[in-house]
Amino acid sequence: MRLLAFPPGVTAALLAGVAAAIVGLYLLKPAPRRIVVASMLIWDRVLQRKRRDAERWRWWLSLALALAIGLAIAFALTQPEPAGAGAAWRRIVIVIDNSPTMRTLRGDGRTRFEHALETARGMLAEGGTARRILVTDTGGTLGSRAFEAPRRARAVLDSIEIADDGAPRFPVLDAADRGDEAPEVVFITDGVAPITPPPGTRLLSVFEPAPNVGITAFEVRSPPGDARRFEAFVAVANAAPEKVSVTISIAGAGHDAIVRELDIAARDTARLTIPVAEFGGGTLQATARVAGDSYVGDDAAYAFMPVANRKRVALVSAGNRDLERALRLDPRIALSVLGTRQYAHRAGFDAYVFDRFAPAVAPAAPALLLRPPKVPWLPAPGREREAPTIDAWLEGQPVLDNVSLREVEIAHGAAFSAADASLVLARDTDGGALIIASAAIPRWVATGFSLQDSDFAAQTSFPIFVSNALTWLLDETPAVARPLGMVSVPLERARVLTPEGNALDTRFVPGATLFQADRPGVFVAEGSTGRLRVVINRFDPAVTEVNASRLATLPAAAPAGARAALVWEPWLLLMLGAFALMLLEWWTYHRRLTV
Amino acid sequence: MASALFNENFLRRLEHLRFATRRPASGHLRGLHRSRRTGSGMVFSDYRAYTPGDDTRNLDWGIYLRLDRLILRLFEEEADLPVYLFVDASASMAFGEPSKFDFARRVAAALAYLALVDHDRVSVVAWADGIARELPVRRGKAQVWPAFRFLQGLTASGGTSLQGALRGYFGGRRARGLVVLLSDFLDPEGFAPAANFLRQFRHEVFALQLLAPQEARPDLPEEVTLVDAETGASDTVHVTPSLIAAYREAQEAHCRSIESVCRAGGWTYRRAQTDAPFEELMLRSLRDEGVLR
Repeated sequence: MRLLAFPPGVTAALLAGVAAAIVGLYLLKPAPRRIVVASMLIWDRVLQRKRRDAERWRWWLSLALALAIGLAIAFALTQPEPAGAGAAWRRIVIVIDNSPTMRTLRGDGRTRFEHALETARGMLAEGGTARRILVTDTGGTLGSRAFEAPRRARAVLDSIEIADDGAPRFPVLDAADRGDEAPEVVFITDGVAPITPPPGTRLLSVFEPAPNVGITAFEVRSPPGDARRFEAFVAVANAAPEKVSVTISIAGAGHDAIVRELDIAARDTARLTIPVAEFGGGTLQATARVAGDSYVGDDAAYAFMPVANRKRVALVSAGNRDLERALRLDPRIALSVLGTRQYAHRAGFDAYVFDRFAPAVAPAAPALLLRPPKVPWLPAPGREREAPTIDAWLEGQPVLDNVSLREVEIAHGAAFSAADASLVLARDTDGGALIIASAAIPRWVATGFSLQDSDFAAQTSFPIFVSNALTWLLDETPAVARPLGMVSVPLERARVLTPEGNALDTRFVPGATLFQADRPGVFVAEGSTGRLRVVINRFDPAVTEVNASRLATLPAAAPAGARAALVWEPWLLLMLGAFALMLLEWWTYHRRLTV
Repeated sequence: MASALFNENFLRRLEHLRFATRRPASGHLRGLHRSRRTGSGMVFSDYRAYTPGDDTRNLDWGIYLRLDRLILRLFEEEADLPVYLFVDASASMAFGEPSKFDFARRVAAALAYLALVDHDRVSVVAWADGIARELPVRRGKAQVWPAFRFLQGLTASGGTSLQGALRGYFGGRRARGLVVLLSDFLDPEGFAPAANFLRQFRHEVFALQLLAPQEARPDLPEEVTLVDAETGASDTVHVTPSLIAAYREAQEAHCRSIESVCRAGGWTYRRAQTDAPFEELMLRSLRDEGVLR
C-alpha cells in the first residue's frame, strides 16, 4: 500500500483522529430530555416487550456505520495506492517543450505551447485503466518530479510556463523515474530548439510554419574619429519562406522615431546602419513590424546611447606623446595639454590627467594620475622597486572592464599604501597596490608606475583603460549588454531597477549582483561603487528562426479530444463506498434501525 | 369555580337532567327517585288489605262500594339518592393539557350540582393512595357552593390506590347509592381488586376513565428519559414509531381491561379525553350511557 497524499505516520494519525472524534461524539452525546409522564405503568409494559439488547445493538450499528463513513472519507484523502499496482499501471512521461519558440502563434491564433498543453491534457484525459503520469519540461522550471495520478499530473501541467532563459534540454529520467519497467516517453515539441530526445521517445509535433521577422542585433556606437556622431546597427532576420516587407522603427528621446521600410528575402537577414545622433542620448528602442508576424518576442530590441556632449580634459605633463595620443583617440573629450607650470593658472576642466605630477592640493575635478609623486591628498607611494609584476586586478570594476594587465611589463614602480586607498584595482605579486582609486567625489585613479617605465602604453588595452577611467571619473554611467535570464552585474549589493523604475529581487555574490531579467529593456543597477545600465535583449537567431524545425515533415499532433473515461482509483472507490454507507445510514436512521 | 366552569345556560340545561338509577333508591329522605318503599308517592304500586292505622286517604273507595272490602292503594315512595363522587387526586391526574385532574373536578362539580339540585345526598371523596380529603354528606341546592369550594381546594399529589380509598370510605356504614369513579385508573394494584371490593356493596357504579391527549397520542423526542409523575421512577427510551404503536396498543388494552371489569359488574363505563368538549360529555354522552336522564 502506497499513500500518495500523506506519509504513513500522518495517515495513521488522521485515521486515528477521525475514529476518536466519531467515538467521542457518540460518547459525548447530550443526555436525553427528561419528560414527566402520568405513570410508567403503560410504558413499563411496552418496554418489557422491547428488548434492551436491541437498543444496544442499534447503538453499536450506528457507531459502526459512522466509523466506516468517517474512516472511508479520511482514507480516501490519503489517496492510497494498492501494493503492486504501480508496477501494473501504465507509466507515461510527458515532456513539454517550453523553449521560447513555443510562443509562436499558429494559424488558429493560439501558440504552439497552448497546442502542446492541449495535446498533453488530451492524453491525460484518455480513458483506460489506472495510469501514472510524469509531466516535465525542457526548461527545468518544475521542482519535484514524480509519477502522479492523471488528475494531479494535470495540475502540474497547468503550472508549466515558457522558459525564456537558459538552454532548453531534454530532462534526464533517472532510475527512479524509469522504475523496473521503462515508461513510455512522449515529447511534445515544435522541433525548433536543439533538443535531442532519447531513443524510443514518441514525438508529437505542434509545429506549423509561421511568418516571423525578428531583430537579431541592435547596437549604437560612434564611428572612429567622430565622438558626436552615433549610428545604430540593426540586423533583422526573416524566418518566413517568402519575401516580406518590414517596417523598422527606432525611437528615443528628443527626436521623432526614425522609420525605414525594406524588403527582406526569404530566410535572409538584412543589416542596416542608421544615424541616430539626433536623439542626443538615452534609451533607444528598435522595432520590426511585419503583417501577420507570429512571434512577438523578437520584434523589439533596446540599446543605450551615451550623451553626446564632449568633456574638457586637461593633460598635465612634461610631455607624453603616447598618453596624449590615447586621449585624443577618445571622441568624447576635448583635450588640452598643459605643462606642470601652467596647471596653476588654468581651471574649468571636467577632468585632469596628471602625468608624473600631482598638485599639492587636490584638484576640483576628477583626476587620473600616472606615477604621482608624494602629495598629502594621495596615499603615499612606497619604495621604488624593480620590475614589479601585476598579479591580480578587479576585472569587474568599470575602470578595468575589458582591460587585461597580464602582459604589462613594468621596469620601475612603487606600490601605494593599500591601507590608505579606498579601492585597490591591481596588485603586484607581493600584494602591493599598483593601481588604486577613490570613489569619493571628486574621484581619482592613480597608477604606481609611469608609461615611460612600462610598456602599458603599447598594450591594446591601454586606450580602453584610459577611456574606462575617464568614463568612471566623469561618472558617466556605462551600459553593458546581457541576454535574457539570470544577469550578473559587477557591482556588490546593487539595487536593480526595471525600465519603469521598479526594484527587482536580487541575489548577492562576492563582487557581483544577480537578478532575473525576464524581458528586454534597459535596466539600471546601482551599487555603492557605481551605477550601471544593463541592456537586456533577446538576440538569438535560433529563436527567430521559428520555422527551422526538425519536425517540419511530421504532421501536427491532433488533440486527444474528450475521450475521458472514469478511472476507478482507490480513493474514488472509497468515496463512493462512503457515499453508499451514508445512504445506508440515512435509510436505517429513518427506519429507526440506528440511533 | 362554578362561574369559571359553567355558564348560566349550561347550568340551566343541567338542571333538566337527573341521575338515572337502575335500582330503586335506598335513601332515607324524600327525594325524586323511585324507592322500594311505598308511601305517599305519586306512582301507584299495589293494593293491600286495610289494616287499622293505615292512612285512610289511600283507601280505594270504588272497590269498597263494589266488593264491600277495604282495600288500600299503595304508592311508591320517592327517595333521595346517595351519590358518592370519588375524585382521583393522585399525581398522575395532574398530567396533560388540559389536565385530567381539572377535568375530573369539573365533572364532579357538575354531577354534584345535578345531585344537589335534585335534593340527593352528595359525598365527595378525593383519593390518591388512600382518602386524601372528604366532603361529608351534603343535601340541597344550598350546598352547591360548599361542594364547589371543596373541589376547588383539592390538589393532585401522591400515588394511586383505589382499593385503599374504597376500603377506607366504605369500611363504615354507607347507604347504597351511586358511586362515581373519576380517575385515570393508573393504579399499580390494578382496577379489579378495587372493583371486587366495591361490588359487594351493590352500589351502582359509574366509572369515567380520563385520558389526556398527550397520553393517547404521545409526542416525544427520539431519545427521552421518561419520569413517573407519582413514583419518580425513570427510564430512558429510544422512541420509534413501532414503540409508539406498541404504547398505544398497551394503552388501549389498559382501557379495555377497565371497561371489561366495569361491564362484568353491570357498571357503566365511559372513557373521556380531556380535550373533548365538556358540555358534550355532560349533556349527551352521559345520557347515552344511561348515567343521566
